Amino acid sequence: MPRFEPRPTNPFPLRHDPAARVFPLSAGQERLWWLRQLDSSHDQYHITGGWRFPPGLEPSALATALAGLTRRHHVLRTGFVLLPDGTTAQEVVDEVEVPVLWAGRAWRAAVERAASEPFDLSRPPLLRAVVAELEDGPALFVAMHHIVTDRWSMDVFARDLFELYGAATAGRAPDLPELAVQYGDFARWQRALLDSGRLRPQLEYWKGALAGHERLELPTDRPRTSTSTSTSDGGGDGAGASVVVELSERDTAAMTAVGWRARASQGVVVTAALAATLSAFSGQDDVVMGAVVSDRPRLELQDLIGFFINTVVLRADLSGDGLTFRDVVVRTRDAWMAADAHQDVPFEQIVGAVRAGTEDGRNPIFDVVVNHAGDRTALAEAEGAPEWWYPELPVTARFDLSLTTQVIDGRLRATFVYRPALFDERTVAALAERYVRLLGQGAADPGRPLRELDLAGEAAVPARAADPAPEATVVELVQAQAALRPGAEAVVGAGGALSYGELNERANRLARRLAARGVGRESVVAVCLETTVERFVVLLAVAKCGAAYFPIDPDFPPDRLRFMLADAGAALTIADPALRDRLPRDATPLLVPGEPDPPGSPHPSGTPHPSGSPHPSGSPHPPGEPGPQECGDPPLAARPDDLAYLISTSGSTGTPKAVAVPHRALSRLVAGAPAYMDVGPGTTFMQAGPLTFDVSVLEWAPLCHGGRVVVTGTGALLEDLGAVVREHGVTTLKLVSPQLDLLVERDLGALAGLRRLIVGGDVVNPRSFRTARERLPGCRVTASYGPTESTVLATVFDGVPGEGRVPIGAAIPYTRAYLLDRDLNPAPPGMRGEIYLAGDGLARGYHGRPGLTAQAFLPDPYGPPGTRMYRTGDVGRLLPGGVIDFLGRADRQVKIRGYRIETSEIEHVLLRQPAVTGAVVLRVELPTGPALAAYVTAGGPVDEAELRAALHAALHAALPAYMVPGHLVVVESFPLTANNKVDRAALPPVTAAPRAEPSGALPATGLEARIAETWSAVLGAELPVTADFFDHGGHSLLVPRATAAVRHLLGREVPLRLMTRHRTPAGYAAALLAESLPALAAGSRLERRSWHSRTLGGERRVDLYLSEGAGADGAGATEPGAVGNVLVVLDGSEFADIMRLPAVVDRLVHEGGIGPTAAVLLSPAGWSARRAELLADTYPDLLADELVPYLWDWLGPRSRPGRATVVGSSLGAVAAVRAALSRPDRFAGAVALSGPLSEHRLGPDGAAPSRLFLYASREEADIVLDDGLNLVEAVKRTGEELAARGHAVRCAYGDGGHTYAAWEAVLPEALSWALRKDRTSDVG
Amino acid sequence: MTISQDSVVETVRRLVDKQLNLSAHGFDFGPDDDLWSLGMTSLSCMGLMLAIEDTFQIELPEEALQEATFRSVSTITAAIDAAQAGSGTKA
Repeated sequence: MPRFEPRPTNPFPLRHDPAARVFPLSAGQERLWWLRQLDSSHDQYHITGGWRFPPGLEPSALATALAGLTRRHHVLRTGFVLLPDGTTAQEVVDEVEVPVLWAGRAWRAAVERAASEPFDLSRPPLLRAVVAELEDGPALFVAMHHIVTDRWSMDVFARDLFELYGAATAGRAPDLPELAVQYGDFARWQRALLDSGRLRPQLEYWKGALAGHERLELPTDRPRTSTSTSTSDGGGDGAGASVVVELSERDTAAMTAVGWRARASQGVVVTAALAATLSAFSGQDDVVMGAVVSDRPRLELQDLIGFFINTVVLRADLSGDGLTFRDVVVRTRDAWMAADAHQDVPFEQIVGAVRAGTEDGRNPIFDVVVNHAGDRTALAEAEGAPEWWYPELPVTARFDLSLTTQVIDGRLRATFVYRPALFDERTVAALAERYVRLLGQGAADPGRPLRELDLAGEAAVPARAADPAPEATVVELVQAQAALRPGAEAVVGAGGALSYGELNERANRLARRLAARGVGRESVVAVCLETTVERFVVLLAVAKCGAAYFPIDPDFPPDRLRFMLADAGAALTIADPALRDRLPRDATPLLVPGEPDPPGSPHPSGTPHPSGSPHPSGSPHPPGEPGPQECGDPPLAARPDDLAYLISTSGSTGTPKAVAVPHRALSRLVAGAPAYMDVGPGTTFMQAGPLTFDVSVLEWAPLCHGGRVVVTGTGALLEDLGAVVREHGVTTLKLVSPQLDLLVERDLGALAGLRRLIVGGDVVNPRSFRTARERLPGCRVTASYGPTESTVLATVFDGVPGEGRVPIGAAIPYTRAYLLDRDLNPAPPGMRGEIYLAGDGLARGYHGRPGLTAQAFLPDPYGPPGTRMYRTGDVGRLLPGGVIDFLGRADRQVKIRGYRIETSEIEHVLLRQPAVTGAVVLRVELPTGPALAAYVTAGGPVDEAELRAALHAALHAALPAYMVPGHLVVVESFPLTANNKVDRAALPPVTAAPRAEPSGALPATGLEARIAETWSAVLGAELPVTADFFDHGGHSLLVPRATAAVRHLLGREVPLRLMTRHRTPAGYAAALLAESLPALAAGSRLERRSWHSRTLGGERRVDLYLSEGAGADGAGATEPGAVGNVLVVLDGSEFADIMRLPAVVDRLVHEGGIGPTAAVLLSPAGWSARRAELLADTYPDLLADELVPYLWDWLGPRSRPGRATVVGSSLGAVAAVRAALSRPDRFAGAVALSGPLSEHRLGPDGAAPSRLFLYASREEADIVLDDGLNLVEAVKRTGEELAARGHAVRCAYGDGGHTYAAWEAVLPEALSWALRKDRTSDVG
Repeated sequence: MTISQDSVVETVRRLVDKQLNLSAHGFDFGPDDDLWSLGMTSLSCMGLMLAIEDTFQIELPEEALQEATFRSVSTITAAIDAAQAGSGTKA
């Protein structure tokens, strides 16, 4: 028996501090506070309560009672504030007034408003009340923010309020025992434990417990978007809906008893049933969910109002065969006990430790939460307890799905609350129904494997097998047509036309030739034929012999062909003359129609002659001269269970495998075809794929029903298809999905006149499907689905598709399609299941591969005894009306960073974009780890950069971040396999990280570097500029701190949510810059250029600026002498983009503080090169001799600017002073902000005195330089020295630290002073 | 196993105390105090039950599987006695 360590004791004293007014937030409050900051417009975290009062509710007594209540419970007069350092605090105020609205009979709107109106968390009370006059008396409704209350607290609230009210009306003292502690005391007590480091082992426990966990991915009815959920994002409105189910009294009792026997509480049992249901729903056996627990770990806390809720993570492993309900209960119990014992670690810390991130719009770690109200009902059930009043309110969904359970009158009531933005009611209802069945049956039979329980309900039980398909083979059927309508055209196209009579006669002749060469039942004849009408002569002849045909493609590499022929055991190859030379000579004997057999050609060796196989009577006739009996039908050879054909498919192991299809299966296809396509007399059928693709098998259907088949080439890109359709009057066309996309993109008008279009073979593009429906009036458009193993088709859909995917529809005749779970039980409607196919269409298996066949073809538990079903590896779910929604390949479901992703979902988002005609999403392995790569084709020429940007925006709008592919490749067309499917393996490889540099990349700009530094400090670990904050231990509670640090750095408001959208320092820096550049004055100019420096080499960013009033004309030329001031600014991008120097100068000029000014702002080539650049000996000359002349050029020939002032901060300040001192011919002075001046040699004294503005921030006294001085002292000392040398020096000191904000603040003063006297200086 | 009556009570008391964190938080409790009103939850009750069965090497019989059994140190002790007597007669 496992041992359970109880929860450790918090060793710190829990005491009431009567003097304290300010307290930290409890861990749970902090999380709620954070959620509130992200979303100010909606709030899902309101708790409401209502109680009935005796008639004659007295306003003054109620007011007295509410006042007494807020006096008693400090939390009711507490507000929540953000301190400047990014931490939070709760402050208790002395007095608050609870707003009470006396709504009378018109209370409904007032109650709704009270329940939904957001609270300002900083302004207590976070409580409002409405008094309603109901039919049978008054009632009080209160709404509170969750941050000050919870469910249990509402019973405390009611008890205390009623006592206070009773006392007020009776004029007596209330009978309420003194509260030993207040909520703030609890929060501080809890904080002491959190800060003590004693929880480190607990955190380690969670890391271990959640290692490698898989996120539960429920199949949603609508794709998740960043706005469809709003747990941690502002987009959604938290709207919820609910489904309620009940367990019978007997089952509830049984469930409780099972719990006792397994040493598990009721709460554990209901959770176990949910875990098992979710496992079935998702197909995952690693089930991670949240459990809401009431957490009042000490007796003193029992009588408090406050937020005492904890949400713990439960991870149940439901793997293993034969799992029983008792097993699930025990595993869930163990998970719950362990979670309970380790619940002191705040959820946010767990999230950070396991790097679960906070996906935008998605709760970290789990989306499903369970909450069993089982304990501590004493208060509500006590004698004389206030009677609850539950006015109807809109349901709020805080999670994707949550289950609240409660036993009421001996029956378990289970309420499933869900987000309608994600789920349909019927889906949740199906889940709820299955939940109750599982609970009922599991409780009745806890030792029975779950898979043996009857959980599906009637709706999902597969239909009974229908009548078997007719057994007549295609040979019999075509011969019958030939007899019935010998003159009617059977095949037209390349090579002319053949009537049924001609087709049959020629096939008969060839069949005799084949038989003469030993071809008979179970022989395999490879065929390599051109796209001409002749191919039906060959195929029919092979069939008449009772043999199977096996199409091969001459374009395959010879070795592959050799392998395929040997693997199929081909006895003979029939090749058209033009293709014969492209086949390996030695593989099989060859027969070329129209050419005589080689003399004395032997029976193919190694092909056993099946004894008793009916041979054509008589001896072989000399070729070329058919006798009359050779034109007649030979005796029927093929029997229903003989092979009709083989089709080669690529095997996942790398070698192709051949699917072997018997006549029975082919007959089933042909017999059922009229149900969904028109193939009878008067119709003309065409498909545009090669013989090696099994869609060509469909051509048998018209031949067996008296229709006509067109066989001809249509061009590699179907460019001739329109002409062919028109010329031959095609009425029924079968296309593969990419082919339809191609036509939609080009011109669907070519298909006018069609009566039936069938599309399938790959995921059908919904837009193409809809376009075809709209653009082809009079044509039925059908989507089809079917693996080769189910003989071409299995299901068809010709209804009206909804918004998203096109369903694959329902099973075609003589076919059954099941959606089954892992245990091969039917998946309930709406739930994810694997698609299994059964019926007469199943292939015999994989030729010569019994093992593979046994894996894929299983005994059919729902069919007649002895029948099989085929496991497709496709995943779908059942929609109402028995239609199947295709969700993707089971093996195309990929996993990135622990998230299971259906790539088809991403493909669908891309396909919804107007410019995109095709999309494939793959999981790729890169040196930086697995990633998603999206390949798209565009209709016509597009601006690739624009398309990428548009797609990126669309993907981000529609999908959570983890589903947005990191790589987007625009390709001209998709490489197709021989079968016209997208050849995923042949797509161009993506190279590592085009979007983000590998982690460890160096910062490109100063801002990136500073943000990375700031965030690293908050994380307590080095964070590379391209690394995701949330992947490196960051969590949402650190966001306010990190943001506060950035605000401090920049000196302006930065929204908290910027970090959840832009999670790397580099991305964040870019977003900051994109956010708010102030407009410049109308007359000034700012131009960004790339500049090449001779001295340093390479390209650098240079910004050129000219203030208004400088007489600039269109070319940048100015009036002579108009530009009095010139600035040379180092670290230009930071001064231009962050400190906004141009705007500062604009203002100074406008206000008349300085005259017209020009500036050149130089940025370093990169952040890593910056230091060496700024300190290079050649730097002053570079500025003087290269950069200043460059500015002159820009200003124009007539301008005569004066000597320049060099501006720099930090190391740039050193370079600025150096330049001023060493090149007084060009520089009049410098503005040096926060420079470590004493650390560096500043250079010689020039001929002329400089004007030097030196600045440090008082906080920079903390920065100690290499020479032992702190930065403030360094500035002071250097200033004194320079002044002593005769320079005009001004030292200024300010606040704000080593930050952009501080520098931006001092710029006006610095520039005004530095430029004041310079207007008259000469150019040297 | 022979545990004297006194030590059974003491052991139960110790297990209860540890499970419910009582004396560590400065709470004294007597053998007849209602553990449910001392903050025992259905989950901590199960933890207590597992600890008791583990410590005394017993399996509580079906009739003991109810909330009343775990109401106090005394009721738990009685259930253990009964279980031990039951297994003793079987042995």
